Amino acid sequence: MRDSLIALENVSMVFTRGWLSRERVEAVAGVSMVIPEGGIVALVGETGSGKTTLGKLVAGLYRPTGGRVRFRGQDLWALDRRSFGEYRRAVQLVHQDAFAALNPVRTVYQSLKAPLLHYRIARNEREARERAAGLLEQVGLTPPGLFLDKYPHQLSGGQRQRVLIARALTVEPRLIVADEPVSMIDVSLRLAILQLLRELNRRLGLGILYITHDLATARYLAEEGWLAVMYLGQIVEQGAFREVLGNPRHPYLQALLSAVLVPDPRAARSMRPSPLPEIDPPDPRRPPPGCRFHPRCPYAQAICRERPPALQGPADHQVACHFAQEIPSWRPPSAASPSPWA
Amino acid sequence: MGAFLSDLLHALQGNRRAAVGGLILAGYLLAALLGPALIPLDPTMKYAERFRPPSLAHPLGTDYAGRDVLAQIVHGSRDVLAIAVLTALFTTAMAVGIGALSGYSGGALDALLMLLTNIQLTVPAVPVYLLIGSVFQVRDPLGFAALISLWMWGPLARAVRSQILSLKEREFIEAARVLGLGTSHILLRELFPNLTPFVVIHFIRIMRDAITASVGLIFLGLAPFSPTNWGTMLNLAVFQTGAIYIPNALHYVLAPMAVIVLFQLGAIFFAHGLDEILNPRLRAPS
Amino acid sequence: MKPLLQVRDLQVTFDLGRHGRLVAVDGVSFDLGQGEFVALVGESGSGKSTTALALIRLVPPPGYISGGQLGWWGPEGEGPVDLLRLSPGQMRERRWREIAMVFQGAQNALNPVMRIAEQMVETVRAHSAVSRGEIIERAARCLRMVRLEPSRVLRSYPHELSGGMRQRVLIAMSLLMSPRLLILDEPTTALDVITQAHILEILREIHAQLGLTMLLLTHDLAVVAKTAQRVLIMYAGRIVEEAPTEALFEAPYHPYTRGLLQAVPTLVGDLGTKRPIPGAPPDLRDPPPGCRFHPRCPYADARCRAAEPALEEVGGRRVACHHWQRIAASGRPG
Repeated sequence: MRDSLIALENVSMVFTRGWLSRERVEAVAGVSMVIPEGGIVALVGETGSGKTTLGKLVAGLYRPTGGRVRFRGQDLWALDRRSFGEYRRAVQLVHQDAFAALNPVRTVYQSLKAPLLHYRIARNEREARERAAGLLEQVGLTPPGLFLDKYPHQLSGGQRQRVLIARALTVEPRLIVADEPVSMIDVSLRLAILQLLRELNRRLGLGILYITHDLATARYLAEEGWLAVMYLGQIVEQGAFREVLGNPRHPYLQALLSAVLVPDPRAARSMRPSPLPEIDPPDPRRPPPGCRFHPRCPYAQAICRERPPALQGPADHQVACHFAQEIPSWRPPSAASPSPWA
Repeated sequence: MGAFLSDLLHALQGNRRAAVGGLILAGYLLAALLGPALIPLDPTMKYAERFRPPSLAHPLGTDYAGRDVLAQIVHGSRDVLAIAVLTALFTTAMAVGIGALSGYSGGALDALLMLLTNIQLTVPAVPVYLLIGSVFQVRDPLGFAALISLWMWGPLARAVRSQILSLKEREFIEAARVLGLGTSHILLRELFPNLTPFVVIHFIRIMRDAITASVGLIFLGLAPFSPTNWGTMLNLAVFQTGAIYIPNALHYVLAPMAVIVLFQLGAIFFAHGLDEILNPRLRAPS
Repeated sequence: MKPLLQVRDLQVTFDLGRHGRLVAVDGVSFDLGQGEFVALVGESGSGKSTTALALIRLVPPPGYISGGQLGWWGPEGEGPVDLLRLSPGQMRERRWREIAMVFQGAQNALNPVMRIAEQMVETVRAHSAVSRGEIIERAARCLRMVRLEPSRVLRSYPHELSGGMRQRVLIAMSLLMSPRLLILDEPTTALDVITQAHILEILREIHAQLGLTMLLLTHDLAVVAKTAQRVLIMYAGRIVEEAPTEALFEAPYHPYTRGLLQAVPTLVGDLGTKRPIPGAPPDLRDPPPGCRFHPRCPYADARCRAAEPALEEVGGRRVACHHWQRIAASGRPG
């Protein structure tokens, strides 16, 4: 693995609410992972898995309540002002809801010029406008003159998402944390945004932490990179993307893979979702003891109810399951009947 | 700003209530600016002409000393409107400052400022005005506005705080923080522009309240400083000249009341209309 | 197959005041046979939700149904009656009893202060005079059908259930009156992958067991592949293609359908063939001339820019494209 840009060491994030009856929610519970310089990491999880919180920890919006976030080897929250400023520019965030992530009363140009002038990347308005135009071109909003003076509500969903990416690029970051960047835009436009991210990764060596619930888009972006699968605040399986998907070991990842729909009627209908004891995930505020997946796990034993399994294995494939070696391997469903679309 | 005004004019065409309110307010503004030049105020007392009913020469009749009521109303409107606008300016500045600081900082400062706000909201205004008014003599609209705004910022401060609280959780603020843009940028460039329509509406509401308060205080004789203020007129009509007991003098008592009510109506219509016009435009993509 | 619903030239207009007029559903015609499972596919703004709302005559203002017929057959083949000619009262009687709909995002619209049991009782009571005991018994049956434990769920408040459970409660509620047509608008969109797979499985079971007609609205062709027998594809207010599910996936005739299939990444297979559809859906206040898809279409030529293609019938399918033969013959992309 290349040099790490961001490394999480046993990071936890506990939110407390209320004053007298302190309600505790542990959104992230002891996560360790590495985001290499210029690499693509897909962080896959469902609602309540803590993936968004983890993204915000990487983006420095939260200070972890346990463990360490390291930026180029240094403890992020012990950095001096100057180094923290460097980190600020190095890591940027692209939100899911582009409409909410743009100030409704500021034009595209106004949103782009603020960081350009703040960091003196542009010395004056004229330069800022030139640079902003260049950035819009880079994210495929051409000709930029058409978009610079538009307000967010005058743009389409896909265009707004591109503006978000352009805004993140203003400060010449090394890593973009993209939290479900395509889940709120039309299907026909999603692939173009993913292609743009892939291209930025290749052309600028820009690292991407792609946070999603969708394994198929994760594959599109991160097949050459890394995959981390989260469940109720913990990483249950991670490693090199091809390696992990080639041989998924954790029962949760296997269930997730079985549930992914394939655009092929015959294959789709022959597939059955895994027969889980519980369809519905538990309340993330009260995670089960032991292995957090055990109430839904078809292979659970007594030990799973008592002892949480540790994430174990070589760097390119780690699994947190007591029976990672014993449970049967999983095969992709449509391998038997290849379809033109699958 | 030009674009905003043309948008506003355009929207006013579609919203009859706001348009009516706007016209009324514009009428008051014109009366205050141009009225005194067009309708001269003749202070000579002509007791023979006292309490004349409305006529062509005196559209609103005459007062206890035979002077034209309309002229007094028009000349009084300058002070009244000056007080209203100044009060709204002071109050808005205080409220936005306190509310924004409270909402953005949170913690102990927030608790302290909200305690102050709650005191302002729970202690009735009139005794406070009485107390301050008896210590400091109010001589001009500026002083008057300062006095009134001292006990009027609570509701807006609290509203601004809650707006800031919800805005600062919005993702575009998060994005600005990740970009490292700094607190002053976030407050002044990102948050405040989103508050503008909201504050404009409150500004009009405060003007309305300020007129009620100022007229009320003058009516009670607490701050008599202008002979043509509508409050002074009411005070004279009710307490000094006994006009309220004279059936012929009804117009004299009603005239200042009517202009106050009409102003209130205009302000309410305009503010409500603005609310309808400004809010959806910002909240939903068109 | 007995007919159930025949939609003809349905048109829904939205009057936007000074922002102009928008025809959200423009001349939509299709048939539903009794017991069929049909999917209506489209992206946001395609008009699929508006079409569904028009079927139950609940188009929200400023929209209104500006034309068309909705022929509705009785269980023994009697009729048809035009639903659009019924009085509001008569229509209200048919809603929920004959046509039920699970609205998009409705899992967040359950009354937060009422237990599920009460909400189910209220729903039935609003439509017929049945005893409470009987309703609860019926509710329990419907809940078991969606794989929920009635004894637990009936006592719960909505916030005690997960999103997937609430969505299943809503499906159960829609079944309470044994409707003949069930419309589901994006029933799994906001849900987790595992929950989605189970709900689709449940829908197939319900369809097989009860033999009711289902119209499933979705933007996701993979959902269609799993469930429907027949597919209608909508684009910019019009139906552009209709085909049996397997035939559609085997060889789409319309470039939009083909584009959609090519635009979605998959878990297995070659990703190199994936292509986005360029551009964005048109603004319906000012739709492009000719074929509405032509600005985004790789096959478009002068004819497409000038003349709107009609929805033609070809061998048990329908397609609205001047070049459908070329697209059908171009086979599998690769």
